[in-house]
Amino acid sequence: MSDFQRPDDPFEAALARGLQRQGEAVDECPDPEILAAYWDRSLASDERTHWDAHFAACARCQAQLAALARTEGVEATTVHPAPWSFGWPLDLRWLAPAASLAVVVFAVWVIRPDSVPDQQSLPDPAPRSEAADLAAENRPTSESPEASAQIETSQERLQPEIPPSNRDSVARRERTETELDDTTFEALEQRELRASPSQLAAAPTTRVDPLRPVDAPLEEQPTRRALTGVSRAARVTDTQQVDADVASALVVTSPDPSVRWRVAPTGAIERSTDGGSTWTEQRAAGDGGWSAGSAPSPSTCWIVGTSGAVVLTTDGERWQQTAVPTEEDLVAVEASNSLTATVTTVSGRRYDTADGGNTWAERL
Amino acid sequence: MYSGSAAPDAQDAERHRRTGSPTPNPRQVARVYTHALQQLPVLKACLSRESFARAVARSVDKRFHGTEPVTRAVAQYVESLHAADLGLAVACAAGHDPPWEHFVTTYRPVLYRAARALSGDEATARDLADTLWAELYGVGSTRASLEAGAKRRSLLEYFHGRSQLATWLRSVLSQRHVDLIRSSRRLEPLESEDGGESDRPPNTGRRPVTQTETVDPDRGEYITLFQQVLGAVVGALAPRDRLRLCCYYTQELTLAATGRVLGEHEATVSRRLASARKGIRTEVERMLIDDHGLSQSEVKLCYRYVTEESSVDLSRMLASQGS
Repeated sequence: MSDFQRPDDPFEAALARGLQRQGEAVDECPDPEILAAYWDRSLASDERTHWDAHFAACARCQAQLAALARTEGVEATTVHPAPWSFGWPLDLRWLAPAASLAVVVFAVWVIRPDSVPDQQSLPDPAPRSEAADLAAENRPTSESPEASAQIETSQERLQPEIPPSNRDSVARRERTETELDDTTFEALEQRELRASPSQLAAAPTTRVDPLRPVDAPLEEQPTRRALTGVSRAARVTDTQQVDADVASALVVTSPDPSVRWRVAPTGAIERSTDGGSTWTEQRAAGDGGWSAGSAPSPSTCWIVGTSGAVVLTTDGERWQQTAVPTEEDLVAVEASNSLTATVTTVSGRRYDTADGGNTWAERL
Repeated sequence: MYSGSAAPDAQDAERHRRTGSPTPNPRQVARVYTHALQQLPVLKACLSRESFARAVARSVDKRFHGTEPVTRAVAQYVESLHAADLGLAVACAAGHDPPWEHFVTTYRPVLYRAARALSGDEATARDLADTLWAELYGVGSTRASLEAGAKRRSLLEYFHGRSQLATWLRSVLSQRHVDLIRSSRRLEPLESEDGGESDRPPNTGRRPVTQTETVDPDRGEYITLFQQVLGAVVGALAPRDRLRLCCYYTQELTLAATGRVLGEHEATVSRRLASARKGIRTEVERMLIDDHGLSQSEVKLCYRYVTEESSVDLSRMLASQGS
């Protein structure tokens, strides 16, 4: 699956040859927990800096990182019960007593004087042994790709009729559970992080806990809502090796629709005051690799990019550069005004500023 | 495999005694414990608050060992822990069945798929995964130690919640796989140590120089010179730039995979690799031409000879310069 091809350029071939054999770093290699935390972006910035230097010089650690990369995505094909935290007992052993209770509740509802005349008769609740057998029969094997479908099917079979008053909430919950049943962690991330290729590429390695409670706000993750006023002229997909400078134009609109900024394919920042008909270059192309922006007013615009780079204008004309204390690429920014903003890194970390970008604090 | 013979509890007790390690806030730990149980209800009947608190304390101690962190740093660290995974590891290591069943269902396929992704054949993958799986269960204890009253010790005791449990499992597996390969390579015949031409045909895919062809008498000098200059230039790069180059050229990862190692988008990786190549080439050629008086054609000869040569050991130079 490598896109690596032996370079044709003689210099590049010599460079590749020169990097083939590695020595060993003089300091001790990290244990697997540090390596895993590095991969999950869980290390503090000073730790990360230290291990960056070690990995750059250590062939053994580079090989381990490469091995981690090659095993990336194996969790995505893992079929396991939906997260417990969503409050729906998907362990099928619980279905028999739950089904029995539901039957009792429904029976009480049916025999009320004001119940619906055309009440549907309940199917006889499956005897516990039968339900247990059915559960055991349909217990997903850990390596079966159809396991999640089996969970859903067996749930439907064991579930009694739902009273009309409860159907909507149950249907909503079932939809959520079905989604999570059928959707792997990676697909969930892809849906929520579809806003930019950076988020998409980094989805499996973000620090999101796939077992987080259902009521945890999805705003924890960089979503399209976080990209205030941002649109893209073209999408860069995972399968394309396209330079971001060429592939897309980032447009940031302000509350005044006639005033907007954009990042040209060259990387220069331009402004329009006539709704995009004409553009004026305000900041020449640099090494920003700009990926997202937010314009809380016609004179204020924040734009973020690679390696923690941030630029902003507070008068609509002149741009100043600042930086978030991180080496990670920034993929989203939410700005309230010229002083207050929150940026999000590719791994999901968030940093806040209240002084126009002079200082940043990581949000826990 | 984690080295060190002392069990984690004994090491921690000794460390606490010697250093007076920072202790996490009990209320914060209680809140994190509650969150872990909400995420993984299977732990409710098996994981006590005390055992979870001890695990968090061990994790904090390992992270801040030998330092005097501020309270905020400890609090941030505790908040960053993967609490549910940590709780699961603690409960499984203690031998409770319900969490172990959950662990088996969730992580066993992850382990075996990862092993298959690493190994070229099913048998090796299964050996690798089976061995690790047994150690996770705690089968690694020797009979002598068990008969002497020692309890079964699980490898999960070495998980401290700094990462996702799945990532940690893959990391352990990756380390073992790499060490296995490296140890098998050490058994292969050593190459010539004189740094000169090897008797074996160069492993470049290019045809070897045959005896009927004229061998440039300055070939060795060109190679050595290029080696020195390239070493100096690459050694001066920032660590992340060197790591990016090594991931792409040495480990032959894709752009996307290289980006995942570094936390960058593949377009960023592509752009930075191109920039690094350009910068390195410019500087190398400048040094070869300006500092060492080579001509353009001689510079090209350097590239050709280095590509054909199999004994360039530039990276040892990088390691010594970069560490």
